[in-house]
Amino acid sequence: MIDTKRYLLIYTDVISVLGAKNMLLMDTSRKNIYSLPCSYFSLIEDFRKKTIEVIKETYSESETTAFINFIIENDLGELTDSLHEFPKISSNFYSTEKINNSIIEIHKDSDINSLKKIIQQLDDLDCRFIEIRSYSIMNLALIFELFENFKCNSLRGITLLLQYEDCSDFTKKLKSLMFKFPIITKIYIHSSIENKIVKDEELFTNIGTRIIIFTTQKIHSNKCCGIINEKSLVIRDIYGTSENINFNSCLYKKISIDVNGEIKNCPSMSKSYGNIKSNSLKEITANTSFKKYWNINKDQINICQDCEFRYICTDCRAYTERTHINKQGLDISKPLKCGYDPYTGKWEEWSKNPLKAKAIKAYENN
Amino acid sequence: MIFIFSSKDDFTTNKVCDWLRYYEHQYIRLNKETQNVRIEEFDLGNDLIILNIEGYKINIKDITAVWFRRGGLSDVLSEWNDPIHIPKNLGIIQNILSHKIKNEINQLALFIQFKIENGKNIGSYFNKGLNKLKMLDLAKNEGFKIPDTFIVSKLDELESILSKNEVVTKAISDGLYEFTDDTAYYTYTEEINNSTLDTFSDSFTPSLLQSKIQKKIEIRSFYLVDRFYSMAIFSQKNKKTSTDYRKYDSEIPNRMIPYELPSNIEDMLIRIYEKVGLNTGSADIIVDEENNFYFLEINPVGQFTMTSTPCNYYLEKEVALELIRIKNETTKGKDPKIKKE
Ligand code: SF4
Ligand code: SF4
Repeated sequence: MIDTKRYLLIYTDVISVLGAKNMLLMDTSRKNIYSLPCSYFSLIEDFRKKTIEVIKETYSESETTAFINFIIENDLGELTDSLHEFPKISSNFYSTEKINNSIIEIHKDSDINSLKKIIQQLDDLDCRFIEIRSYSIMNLALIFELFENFKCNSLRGITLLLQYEDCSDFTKKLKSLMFKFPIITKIYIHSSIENKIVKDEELFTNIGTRIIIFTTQKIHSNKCCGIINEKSLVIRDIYGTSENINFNSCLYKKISIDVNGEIKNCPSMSKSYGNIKSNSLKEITANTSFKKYWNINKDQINICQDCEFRYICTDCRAYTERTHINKQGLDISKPLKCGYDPYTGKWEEWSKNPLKAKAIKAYENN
Repeated sequence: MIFIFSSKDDFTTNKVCDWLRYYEHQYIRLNKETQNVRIEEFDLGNDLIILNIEGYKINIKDITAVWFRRGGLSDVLSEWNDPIHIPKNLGIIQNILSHKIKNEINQLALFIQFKIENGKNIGSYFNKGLNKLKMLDLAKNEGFKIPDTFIVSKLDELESILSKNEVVTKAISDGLYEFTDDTAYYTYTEEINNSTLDTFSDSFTPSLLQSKIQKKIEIRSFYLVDRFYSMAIFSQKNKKTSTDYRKYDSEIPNRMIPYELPSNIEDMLIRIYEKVGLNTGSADIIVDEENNFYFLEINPVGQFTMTSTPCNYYLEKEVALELIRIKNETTKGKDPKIKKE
């Protein structure tokens, strides 16, 4: 029997997000999400301040009990005598780095010295993560050479996206690359003949696990980026969730260098702010116009603002439905490659949506 | 200038330094691994104590805010002046002399440490080894409940206590906390019961035993100059949940969320901090099913990142801001730049 004079403490790191049809409970510590009909939102709000007894005056006995059981079974909360000692968790976000992450596009003829310069400049800007992408077959020797004698201060991890190469010692070469340069934490291999994950003992280092992921998916250009589906939704810890609540979940503190050395927010966007041959990344980062999308969070995006997934979703600004512009002239339309409709709560294939046809065409002609 | 005592690769210190750089305040970080610390000049009458730290000449008069986290001058100064000038073959006196010389250096280091901290510090070298028993005694006198606490050194005493209490044991002094390249060695609170009894000999080193409290929640509370940042830790034991936790590498992590201590408990803690002259620390408290607050211990250097991260408190930023505040107060805005020779 539940003592109804007590309270149900829903742990404060479990955050509820209201959508148009559904709501989401985000357990930011355990990294789990729970979809519920949006009618539960006010019930949860009530549990955050009222005793079970008082709640039962408004909601039915069975509904209340079922909900309490759901919370306790999933370890999202527990019964307690008072709530006031558990204040709401802050969703403020602060960070010290000038740049947090970067995408660099390369191909087999990329100039090694210019790449070295880019990585050095990124490290100087306190950049933490770099993704190096190649859409075609690379000479791995170039990558070995790139990191030779490289000393980093700020970088915490480098991810490589490379094309599959049909030679017998390909995996072995990748492993030795990771072994030699522990800063490379993940390698994705696209256009592979099979889907597989290599995560064996040789890849364990004292600073964490290294992993190689092979996928048959063909990533032939940066036009493949920006796809939003149930798999692309990622719940982050309270730090990352707070970042997503306050800032753009893809472009905040990101700088990208495309295959021609053009400096952009992301390689898929057409707007360039300079070229690595004549500009330093530092000077581009100081340009306010370069940072204009950083403060656009999901609460400002058309449709997404009504979606319960808005704080676990990537806010792609390169491909959008091109329907809404805000007062500052910034595109605040919903990402194009998302098939979710928060008003019906259903996922569909985005590319078949007739309403998106015009926007899709616009990008194809680009 | 801001001066930090720490150790190499300390994650929390790195983050505080990130914030100092972000706010564009210069700092000197003296790690306990530093080899190259010399006294350049020492003239007390003229208020001139100049240290040379890896090529940087620091007049300690210019140090305007200090954070003591680890290490301290006596760790690094004694390194450069190992007693090498004692004639060999002195017999018994050889050891005594070498000890004496070490002590000379140490007294000197302690004095300079004191001059550096000099009331403008967060944390202090002189408080790094708080006596656990003294703290328990203080807490009891301030009105806290404390677990029953015994010191035993004989098996029969242990058996008689075990027959009446459920107990845990822990270090009386600082626990062990050492890392080698591939292994971490640390001591933690360990339960003692009848099944572990036969691992004891008839007599052993005097050891601390405390009765086990039936805890509802555990609280870790970081204190920084008049403010408390507390966290509740819900133990995972005894919980029946249907969630699939196999995705976690080791055991299920405990739930940790922000917590507010009752104001009378905060007042008691403030009085304890004042009595031992600390302006920062991390207190461990247990709340039992009857809402009694049991004081366990205070860690004077405080592993506050483990409180800060789950609660989104940004304590490293708070520490940096406090250092900047102290600095501005001491210098009234005029701070000499750090120059390398
Ligand atoms: S803005 Fe879109 S295309 Fe660009 S990196 Fe982000 S998700 Fe990919
Ligand atoms: S893109 Fe917008 S609508 Fe689609 S899942 Fe993300 S937040 Fe929801």
